[in-house]
Amino acid sequence: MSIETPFLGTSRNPFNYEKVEQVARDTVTQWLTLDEITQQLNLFQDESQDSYLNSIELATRMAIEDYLGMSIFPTTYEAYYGSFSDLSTSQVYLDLPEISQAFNVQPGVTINSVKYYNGATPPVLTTLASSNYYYDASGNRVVATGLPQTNNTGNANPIVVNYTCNANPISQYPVIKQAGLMLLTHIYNQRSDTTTENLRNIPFGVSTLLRPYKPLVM
Amino acid sequence: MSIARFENVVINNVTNSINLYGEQTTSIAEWFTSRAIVKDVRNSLLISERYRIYSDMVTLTFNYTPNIKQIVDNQNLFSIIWRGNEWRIADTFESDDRMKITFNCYRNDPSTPV
Repeated sequence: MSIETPFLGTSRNPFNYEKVEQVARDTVTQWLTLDEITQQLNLFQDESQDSYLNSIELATRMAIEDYLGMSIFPTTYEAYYGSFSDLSTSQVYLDLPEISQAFNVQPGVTINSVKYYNGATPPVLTTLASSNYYYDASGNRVVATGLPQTNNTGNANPIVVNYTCNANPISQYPVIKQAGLMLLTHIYNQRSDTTTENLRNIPFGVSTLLRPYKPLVM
Repeated sequence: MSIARFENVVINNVTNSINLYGEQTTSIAEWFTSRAIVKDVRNSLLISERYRIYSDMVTLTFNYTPNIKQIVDNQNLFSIIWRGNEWRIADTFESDDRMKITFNCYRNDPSTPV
């Protein structure tokens, strides 16, 4: 992708990240409780399938996180930004691809590090001091200063932001949990990828319940 | 579509043994609670010369879980309490896709003189 001005200079649409990777994700913590699940599946005290129910609960939660594009539990990403030069005196704005909502005075996003590949050969991944950047929640972006004048232009994407989307308040919304229980019931009942007959969606199903909470990506 | 008729049930362990006097004993202890789809509730009456014998039948369908499969394998060792009465498991049916198990359950009311 060619880089045109104003790159990293103002808010842009589309966002100015070039690549994003999910580098850590919570695949252990239960979201829907076993009590809620066994009520939904009419199992009650039949605990003989609990470990299986736990595993499909995790799959359900991850599917809903992926559908919404928001993390129910903390997820860590690395976003990469393109080559640039001569930004030593200016602020750069690094848009974050995935964010979470602020909740209870906790920001939705924690910036773990901002790093860049310097101009040495071979380039060295260098960490920017935390006093040189902050998270701008109003624009879902990192505002950074103090990036060196000479950066590595051989790397495709020399700036790397590592950040964590924090737990999201919507995870406790009854409508989101109900969508989770409905999806879990579907996964519980459909163990195979194929059926001999067509299945039909019910009205007001999982996607109808979740759709209003899906962030509008512009 | 109507609401599926799920009703609360209690699964019991049934232990048969012989006491010191050689008498047959049966002890019943709760194992777990669950919910079953209730179908085909039937009461029937048989009148003999001296007695009226009431026998009841119900069909209960459960999700196929390890516990329920254990009941299929040893149906004499379990009973089901539904609507406050204790039912013995007469027939068991596993669905071919191993998603459901259905029990035909019977119980007799005390026989009554005609």
